[in-house]
Amino acid sequence: MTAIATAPGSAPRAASSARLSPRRVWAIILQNAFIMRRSPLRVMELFYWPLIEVVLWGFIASFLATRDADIPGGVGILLGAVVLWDVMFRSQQELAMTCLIDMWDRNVLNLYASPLRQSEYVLGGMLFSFARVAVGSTVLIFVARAAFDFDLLQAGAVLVPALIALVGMGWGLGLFIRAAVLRFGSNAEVLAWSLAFLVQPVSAVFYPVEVLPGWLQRVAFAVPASHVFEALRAWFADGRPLLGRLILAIAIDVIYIALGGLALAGALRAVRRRGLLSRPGY
Amino acid sequence: MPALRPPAIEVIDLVKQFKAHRALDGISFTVPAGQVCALLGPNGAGKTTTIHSLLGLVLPTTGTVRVLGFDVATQRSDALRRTNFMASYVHFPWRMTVREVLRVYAELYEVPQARRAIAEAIEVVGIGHLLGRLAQTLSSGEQTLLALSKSLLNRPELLFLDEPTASLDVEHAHEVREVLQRVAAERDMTILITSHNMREIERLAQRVLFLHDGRVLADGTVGELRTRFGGEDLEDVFLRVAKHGRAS
Repeated sequence: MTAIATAPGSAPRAASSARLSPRRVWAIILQNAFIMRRSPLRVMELFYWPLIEVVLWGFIASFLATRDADIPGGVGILLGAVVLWDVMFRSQQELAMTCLIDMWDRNVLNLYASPLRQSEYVLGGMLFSFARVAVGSTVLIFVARAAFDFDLLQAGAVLVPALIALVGMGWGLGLFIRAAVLRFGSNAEVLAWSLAFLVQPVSAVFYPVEVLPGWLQRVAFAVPASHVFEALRAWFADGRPLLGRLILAIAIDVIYIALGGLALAGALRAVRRRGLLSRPGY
Repeated sequence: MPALRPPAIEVIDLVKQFKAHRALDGISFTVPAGQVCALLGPNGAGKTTTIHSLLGLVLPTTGTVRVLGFDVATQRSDALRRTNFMASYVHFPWRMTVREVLRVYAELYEVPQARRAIAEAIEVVGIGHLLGRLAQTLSSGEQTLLALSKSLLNRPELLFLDEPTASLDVEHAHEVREVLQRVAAERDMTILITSHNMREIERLAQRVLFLHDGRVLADGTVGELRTRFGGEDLEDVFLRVAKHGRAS
């Protein structure tokens, strides 16, 4: 150990500000990138399950094609649905994982004792999840095209609002999961893997909403993914873009993200009131 | 005339109630800038709750907490940017190296000239040989040195230390104390420390606050407390104050 070179002066008083710090957001992205680099499981899970799904549904689609199955939008839509559902699921799961890893590593207290704001923590998680989703989805689109001759990119510009809506829904669910994990600790971590599958039956991923019973159709209306998949089905079937439904999906996302943010703020307030942040995993 | 520095810490009538348990019972104290102040007391006295309230990790039931002039309730992030925190019970991500941990925390604290600040924090604590090691492979002593290095990254004006040398062997504990003593003197840094090690407190602290059942029972220098309560050393004083606390 050596002596300190210089004596410091008092740092100038920073003005009180509510500004978001890009450096702190970057710190969260950097931390997750460092962790992922040394976690073969985190790299593998990016491709393993999605690839299995694409291969499975690719063969199902090929089989149905040989039987001249009458599927709106063609059997290829099944493959597209798998790839797009993965965008939603990954967005949700990755946003939850960036918080769960800190809990597992008992790093939560260090983060909350730093100047990091909840909004910066979440935004860093969102951006990191977006990067992972972008990489994973690119691979899936390539595999679907190379192995099963299905090109999702043929959908063109309509994919942009569809992807925004699916990522938004994933982030909305992810925020609720983060709130549950923060409030109830690792007891709630199962939600990171299960919540998306709870809404999948009413998301119109593989079948249209009209096959659902009336009351479930009303539930499906509140699920952004159902509007996205209905719109894409119509687009692949007869070239109608159904932009209204995509905009509706994004509008519902905005509501869910706002509610998720409120739930997260409420969860943080509750754990600070109860003094739970210092108890790892609660 | 030199500018008047605000107190580093102001706690006014702080109450923290956890369901039926009153962890802090209306404590008030002020720590002037540049002072090393120790919180002493038996388990459950409210030491950690006090530090966590100052960091905004725990919301007060009632009362006011100001850190470096900032109200923690409304300006927490601004206050924490100029403070840092180290405790024996927190860890860093297992799959990050020491170098990566310091880099991430330099960003979190928005440290200017991060590379230079990291190099300085490494040098001051003497952990250059650990830089490439993963956090999960560090011994508890090495983890504490990493935590200390991280806590000095942003050259904090105020450092919170919660049992910084708990679970350390004599040699590592001595190293940590040496660094703290030197840094506090050279940087005119305020330190609020909790510890069960009385010799550590005698060596580091200019002032001691004795907590018992969430109340401040005694406040003064080690010498003043010895005179007031009797006893040969701080451990003796501690036992007498604790007994006095139980009796009152």
